[in-house]
Amino acid sequence: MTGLVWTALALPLAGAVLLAVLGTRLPARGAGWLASLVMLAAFACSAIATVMLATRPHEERAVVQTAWTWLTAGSFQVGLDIWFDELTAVMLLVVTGIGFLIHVYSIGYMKGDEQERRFFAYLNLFVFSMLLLVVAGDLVLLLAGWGLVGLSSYLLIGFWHQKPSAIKAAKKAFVMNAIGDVGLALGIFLLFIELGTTAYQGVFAGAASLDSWTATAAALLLLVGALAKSAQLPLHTWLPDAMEGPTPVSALIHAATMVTAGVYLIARMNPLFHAAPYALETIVVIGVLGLLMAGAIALVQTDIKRIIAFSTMSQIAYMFVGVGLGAYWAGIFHLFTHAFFKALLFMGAGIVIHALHGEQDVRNMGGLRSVMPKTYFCMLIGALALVGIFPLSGGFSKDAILSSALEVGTPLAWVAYIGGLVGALLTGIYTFRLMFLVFHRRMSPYAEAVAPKAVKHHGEGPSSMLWPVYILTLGAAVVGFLQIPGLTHVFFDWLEPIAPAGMVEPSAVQEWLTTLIAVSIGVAGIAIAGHLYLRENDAPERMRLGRGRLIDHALEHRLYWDDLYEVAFERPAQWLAAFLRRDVDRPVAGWLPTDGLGTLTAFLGRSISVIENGVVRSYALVIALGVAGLLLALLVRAA
Amino acid sequence: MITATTLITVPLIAGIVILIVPFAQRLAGYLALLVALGMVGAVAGFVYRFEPMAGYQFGDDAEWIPQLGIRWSVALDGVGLAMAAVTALVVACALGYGLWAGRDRTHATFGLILITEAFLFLVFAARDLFVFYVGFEGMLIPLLVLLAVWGGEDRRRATVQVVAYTAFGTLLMLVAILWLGLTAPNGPDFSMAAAVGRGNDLVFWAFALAFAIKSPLFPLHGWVLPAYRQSSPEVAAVLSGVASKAGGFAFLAVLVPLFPEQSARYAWLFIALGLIGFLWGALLAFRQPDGRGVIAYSSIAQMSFVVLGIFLLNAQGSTGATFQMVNHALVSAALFLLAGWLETQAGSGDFRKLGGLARSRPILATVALVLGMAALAVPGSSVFASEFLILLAAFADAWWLGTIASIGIVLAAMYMLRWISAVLHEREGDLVGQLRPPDLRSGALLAVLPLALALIGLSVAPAQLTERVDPSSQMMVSGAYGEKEAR
Repeated sequence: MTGLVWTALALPLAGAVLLAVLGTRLPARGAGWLASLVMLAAFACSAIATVMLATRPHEERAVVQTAWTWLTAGSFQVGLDIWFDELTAVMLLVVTGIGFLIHVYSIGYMKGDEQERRFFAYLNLFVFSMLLLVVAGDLVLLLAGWGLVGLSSYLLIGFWHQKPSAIKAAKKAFVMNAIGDVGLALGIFLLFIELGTTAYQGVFAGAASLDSWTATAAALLLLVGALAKSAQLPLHTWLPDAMEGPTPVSALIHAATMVTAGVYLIARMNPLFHAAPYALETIVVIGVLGLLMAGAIALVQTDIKRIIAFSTMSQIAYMFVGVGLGAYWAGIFHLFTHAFFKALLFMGAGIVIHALHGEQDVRNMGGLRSVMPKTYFCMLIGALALVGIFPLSGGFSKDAILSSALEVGTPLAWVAYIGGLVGALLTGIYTFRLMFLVFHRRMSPYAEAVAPKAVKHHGEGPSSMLWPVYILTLGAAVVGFLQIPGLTHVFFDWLEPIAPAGMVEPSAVQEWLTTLIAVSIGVAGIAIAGHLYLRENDAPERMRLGRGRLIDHALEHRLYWDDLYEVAFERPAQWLAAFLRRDVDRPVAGWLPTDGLGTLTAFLGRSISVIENGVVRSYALVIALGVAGLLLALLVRAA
Repeated sequence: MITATTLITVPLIAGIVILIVPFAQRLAGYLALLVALGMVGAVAGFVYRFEPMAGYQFGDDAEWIPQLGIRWSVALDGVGLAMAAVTALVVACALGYGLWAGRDRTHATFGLILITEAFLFLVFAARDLFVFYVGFEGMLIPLLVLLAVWGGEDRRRATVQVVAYTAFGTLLMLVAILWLGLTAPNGPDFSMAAAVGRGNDLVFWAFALAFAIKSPLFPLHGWVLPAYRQSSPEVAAVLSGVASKAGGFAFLAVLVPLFPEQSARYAWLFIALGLIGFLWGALLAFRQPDGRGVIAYSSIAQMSFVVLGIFLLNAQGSTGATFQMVNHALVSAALFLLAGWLETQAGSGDFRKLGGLARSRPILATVALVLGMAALAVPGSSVFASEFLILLAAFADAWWLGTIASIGIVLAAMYMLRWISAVLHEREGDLVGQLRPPDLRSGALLAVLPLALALIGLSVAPAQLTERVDPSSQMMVSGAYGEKEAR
């Protein structure tokens, strides 16, 4: 079983190395198929390993295995450990399964790009990094995976590296994630100093013995890493810019897998967070603020991918609320369903963008329903799942989070509940604003000129792009049935052993009640969107929230976070570096040798007045004379 | 029998022979490379045979200048061996690059580089203070000649600066060594073991200053930028890659064990300077207009960080510092070779004239990315492993110290990403079209590749290094070194 997990981990790495080494010796089309085949094999390994895990008795389901000692120094020791349990299995299946579909989709999407091989090499590298992150059995190894997904994300955001905007976005993502990595590293330091180990087993066993201050500090430091990776407040500003990358990348990394790593981390470290209730409350607060803020900003965006990106941020915020409330299973469940419908939406958007020759502005779309009926149907399922309309998958998982808030019942949980419901309204509006602007209404002149022709020539897309979308559509429709309140209980039962201190589980009544409210609110949101955007005479570019221009302006500028960071950090750092270079380092470091010591040397040279023609040589002479004199003195003394 | 003495004598004699005997130019180059590769083989043999718990190994001990109590005493422990290993590799790669690039007066350049290597081995293996001094001072002379004769346009000024700084430092150290050796209780004795704990503050500072200049430790880094900018790529690689390590190594293997009391008392100062230098170098690297400037200031930052790690005086700090020196040797040597290649091919290292190089140059792009990512310590890399250890040690010392130091990690990401995209990405610079050959190939690639592969290997299993280094480095900072050594 562990052999299969190791194989699943090694396969994408081997694929990446092979693609990099073979390079142009490989036919362009072959690269995509090779990478996809590797993913299929990795998925098969993961699936078989999961089945084998399921056949084991409950208490034997957390398997640890060390390949070799990775790093040692004094009492500090890190093994190359894998940790395979129920949570790992879920993550493995999502990463390899959805990853495989997106690899296949990319074959069609990247066709004709002269850098196809490099793309698939990066994509395989990403999958390896992500798998390392989820199978790691030691926090240091998790951090390694954590950093490597950041690296591959950087490479893929900046894939079209001749575009300055893409490189800027890639660098921004990397640096913000480096801040997160540092937070995570500091948390690991603290845990090692307190517990003497960084292996999961030791940390889980020792977490309960930590005093609450230490546990809270460690948990909050880990949280910094989670916030950066999952694009949550206040380290979220890199995600919308990351949409500069090719669309399959947005689907895989910035929707389905990497950005949910923060949720995974918190669920994984639940024994620690259990010992740090304040940290959990912080997560809930950040989650509620984030889901509302991102939902509101999504209302006014005009770039199709950025709308979905803000939606992703908002949905991950829901997951944060879930794990923050102690309903780890609900957070992971939402992670699971979200991977399907959000990857679906991105891939659908990619098909639309392809048909429009790279256009991403929703104002230049419209009326595509008649031209691209298959895409429309699939994206409609995805959109309904996102809004949480019964009986599609997103509803079950989101309502599981919200009803967990009911079960918890504290004032903060009530705030989360209300906030989550308001968020559901926003979700309904922005999702169907997107759908209506893209697929309904009258076609924009640009779309009219381009889309029908493109579809006539190529169809809606090659089958390598359409089939993955169909499969995800099916998934987005049905995976929620794993956990129907009062009927099926698969997801909760599967994940229950990962939290030794227990997990929050709402009653079936609470869940159905929440579903009733949330679905009504979602439908209301769709209706509002229809009221605002289906009428032909309305200018679609604006979502007017009232007469105040202030709110519009603020939302369009994403609540000024980017501007704030520029003024608060970027410019002062640039200024400081320039100041140090110009006014401090150059004069000080330059004066001391050339003018200070140099003058001294020259003076000595002249005063000896043996060699006039070179500072260097005169100094060398000084040394030589000095050495000789000292040796002489020594010899005399010794004799 | 191959011992530490072999490491020193073979390149020294070979260097002198190549310097003097009028071989054909090409033959001289190949001979030098062969000797350097032989050194790699010899060190590899040591690494294989090394027993981590057995202290100093492969040693020789013989009378040298009996009147003064100076003995030819050389041996390698884990720390010295790690440094010797990376030195052998870096020198071989630098020679390979020089051979590919083609230098006039091959005899002199390659002979001098081999002599430098010999003296470096002497520094890493010396068990006698006078022998140590010979190595420490001796390695500078061939490097200075290389800089003064084969350097860039402004080489004269650069040479003056290097001489002014380093000669000043080593002169004080020589006096201190003589004092220590001659005041030994049982007649003149220059062995390190006999010097443990005997020095006063003045002697301590004479040593510390020499090592701080060589490392370089902030604020004594003034000689670095001109020297690294003006040297030929292979000399810059040796200078920043391994010659600067003599300073860091000496802090750990000479200063701290010989002056346990002063080291502990003044540790705060070195930690503070290391911390400042780490952030200072990173900030300045961020504003440099060319590749060499970025690498030079990042070297200042990294070596300051190493000094910080050493003076935390614990296992993780000292092992991490040794590991970091190995990593930095590989990274900076490879980066200097790469930057030099770009300069010679394109005619300038100026960022404004480069850029967009990744387009249709997959090999160059891959190598530069791997090195850049290693330099910024992407988690999972060997540089990450060593920086993690030092930061962990700093955090254990005081949480705020580790936290402030970790800012340097973010800054490193910023300046290395800037370097990567300035060279590889965005608009193609004016000079890019002139690259001949367009991609990194043949000799230049072969020279850089072993360094990159070594980094990747150390990323896969860094414990292979730390397990060998750890017992030695722990001993050095434990303060118990003296008793064991003196027995």
